[in-house]
Amino acid sequence: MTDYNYASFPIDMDGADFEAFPRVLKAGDRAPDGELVDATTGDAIKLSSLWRSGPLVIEFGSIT
Amino acid sequence: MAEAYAADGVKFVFVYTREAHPGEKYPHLTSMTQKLRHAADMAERLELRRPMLVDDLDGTLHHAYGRLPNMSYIIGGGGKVVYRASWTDPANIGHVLDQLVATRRGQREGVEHRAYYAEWQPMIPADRVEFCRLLLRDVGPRAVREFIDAMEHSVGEGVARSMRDWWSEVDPER
Repeated sequence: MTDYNYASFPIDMDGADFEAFPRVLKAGDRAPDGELVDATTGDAIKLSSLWRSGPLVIEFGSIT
Repeated sequence: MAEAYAADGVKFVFVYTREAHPGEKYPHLTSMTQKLRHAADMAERLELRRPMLVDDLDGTLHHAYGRLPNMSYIIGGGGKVVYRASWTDPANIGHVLDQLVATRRGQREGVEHRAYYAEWQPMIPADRVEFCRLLLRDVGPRAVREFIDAMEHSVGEGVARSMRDWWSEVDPER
């Protein structure tokens, strides 16, 4: 398996993550929780604290 | 969009993951300090008004959600996955939020609701040359070269031909 933080885009990057995506979780499952850090303020944030009182939209991404 | 739904109690966050196409301007991540810096930099470039969050250097939370580069989720109040998509499409997110908000309103008024399950495979335009142009502008030529090489290797030279033709005109090392 490729390193998570690979230094170069792997020439043999396969679609395994895309193919597996429908099986990782499904609608109706409990959402994975985790401790995150706000990159702008430095505050620690528990993800579940954001969905406790209402819906939470999470977008994942990177610069490149 | 975040502002439009704030009154309905919907929160929005962005989770920065890793550099999918590392290059000259944004190399791969080797420390938490760098991960936080890239994330803060991205928040500034996008003029992001949502919180920009990061998990650990190994991407533990990113893995738990499926490890794709541009996925999105809606979690219902209480913590269950309501919507997940391998690509972020604001129109779909808006539609799901409208329904969620209407459901919550109905439930508050005493209307009984039940869940149903749906799957869907929408299509989006995939302009690979435009994607390469943005990579060149934002990251540098190495990321473009590596992406085109990988596309030729995995998808085939036919699919990658438009990118290769464009690159042969603009590659600074041609």
